[in-house]
Amino acid sequence: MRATTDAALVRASELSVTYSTKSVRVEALRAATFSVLPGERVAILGPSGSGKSTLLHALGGLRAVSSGHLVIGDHDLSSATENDLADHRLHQVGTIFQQFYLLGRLNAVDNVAVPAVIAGSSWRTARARATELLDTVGMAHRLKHRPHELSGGEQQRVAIARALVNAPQLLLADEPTGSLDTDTAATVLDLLEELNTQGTTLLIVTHDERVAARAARVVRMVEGRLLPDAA
Amino acid sequence: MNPVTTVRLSRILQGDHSGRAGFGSGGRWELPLLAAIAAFILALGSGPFVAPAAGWRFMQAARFDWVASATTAQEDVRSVPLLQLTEPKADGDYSYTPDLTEVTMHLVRPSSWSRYVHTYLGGNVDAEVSSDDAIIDDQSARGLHLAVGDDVVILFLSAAEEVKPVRVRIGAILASSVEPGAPTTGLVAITGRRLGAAAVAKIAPGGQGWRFGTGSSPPGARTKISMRDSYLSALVAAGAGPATTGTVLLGALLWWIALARYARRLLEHDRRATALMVTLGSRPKAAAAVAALPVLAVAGAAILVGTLLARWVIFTLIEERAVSVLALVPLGGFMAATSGLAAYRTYRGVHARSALDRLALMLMEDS
Repeated sequence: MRATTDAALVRASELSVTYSTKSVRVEALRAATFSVLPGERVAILGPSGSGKSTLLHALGGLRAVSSGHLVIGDHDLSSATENDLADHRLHQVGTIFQQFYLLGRLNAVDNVAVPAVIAGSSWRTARARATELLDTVGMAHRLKHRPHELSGGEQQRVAIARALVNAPQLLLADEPTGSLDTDTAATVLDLLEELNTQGTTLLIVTHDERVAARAARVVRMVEGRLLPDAA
Repeated sequence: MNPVTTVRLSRILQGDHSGRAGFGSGGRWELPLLAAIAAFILALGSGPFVAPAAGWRFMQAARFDWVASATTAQEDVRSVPLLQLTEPKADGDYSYTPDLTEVTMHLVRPSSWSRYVHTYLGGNVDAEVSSDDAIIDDQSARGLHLAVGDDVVILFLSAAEEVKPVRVRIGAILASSVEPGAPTTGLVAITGRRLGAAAVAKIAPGGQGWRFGTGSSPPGARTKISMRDSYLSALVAAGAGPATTGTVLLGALLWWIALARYARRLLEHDRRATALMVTLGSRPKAAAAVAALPVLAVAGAAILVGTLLARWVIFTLIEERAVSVLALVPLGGFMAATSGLAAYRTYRGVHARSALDRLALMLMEDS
């Protein structure tokens, strides 16, 4: 495990996240301390329920941290308000999910354009940017297709383009190949790797050793705790 | 209510679109249509409901203008010795005592206006009126005693000197604050058969002679009774009876079902989209407000469509005139309040607790 450094893009110190369901209080993340440098390609590897998705959600501003410190870029998420977290999700990070989470009523271009529109761009500008990104991820021939008309791999590529539309510093991927067959998964991983080589910091959460093997650094998690860095 | 019906009603209220709830799979137009129908029923039913409830001023607002006037006899507090139709009073300070079931009307100078009242006390109101009927003139009408249930034929002489009989049955007598020796105001409501409607005579002190028609007509003008003048009068005469109340309650129930189903649909279907919008960077409260807006939009459109349709049916097809918007204020208030509540519940449903917590739970459930 790497100690936090001032040069790091992600700096987490004693980070804990707990949540409660109706009857259970769960410590999903326990005193995690780590950092990610700009341009790194990091995989967080662990079995189901190990807390890796919770960590990713905390990094993505999708879940407030319970204790500890979390700084991404110049933004301290430890004490962020709801609106601060929304701004963080909008501008600082792009998130890719296993289930894609595209809006079913919108076509590929509009799905990609939505975050840009939320950020204040006009639809015209946002669509132009979305079209460029879809071309980048090899989806130029599917611009007007809706999610149900796309294959799983195509949907994931649209989701990747959407995650990039506001030029985030950090790209988070939560089991990005979990719903894809082997060949399609390899294509998606190639794409993510290419984006990383172009300068985008990439953090992938996975339980798949093969996916983790493509990362420059692997952080393992068990029962909410980060294990010493094996890399 | 049998269990199956109960289950189905429960599903409808919960917005179940399984198809077994009797509303199909919930198309795009289902809920706006349901809401508009509910608004229509509410508007239709609220006409008679709001007028007596809100008092005579609503009647004025609805531009009732079949006006009469009278003074009470000093010797009989329940009699109306002098019945005259005259110009409507601007102030219209009327009230009524629904327990008054009979009045005595004395006509004055009817012959000069060619208007008469002919009573068939217990007689056959469907009989044709002929010259042999006992037309009550200004002399014989004096002291005429009318009670609820009596059938009356009023003869009108048109501008073309054509006699037009109008058969009516006295459905209610609503007279007000009758005090011995003092002029009084009151209301006689008589439901008619021939027109399939009713008429209301507003009794006010002073004035000269009978006059039917619009308030702007000069005394003595020969005007015909219009359905538009009598329809709402019939509704008012009916008061907030069981049928009227039931209609309003049915409309209110349908209205609430429509809103509840729509809000439920938003919670079940759009909450996920809202959560995704939040994921993408939209601020939670803003996203929740956006999710609630369709409720207000649909409710507003339904109010507009339903109310306009009801007004058109009542006052164009039947009455040939629109009712004052004032008479629909209570209806609109109810609909606006329930719409606002549904929208607020939608907003709270989307934004309840922390939107982030809800979103995180959703994502974890899917992962």
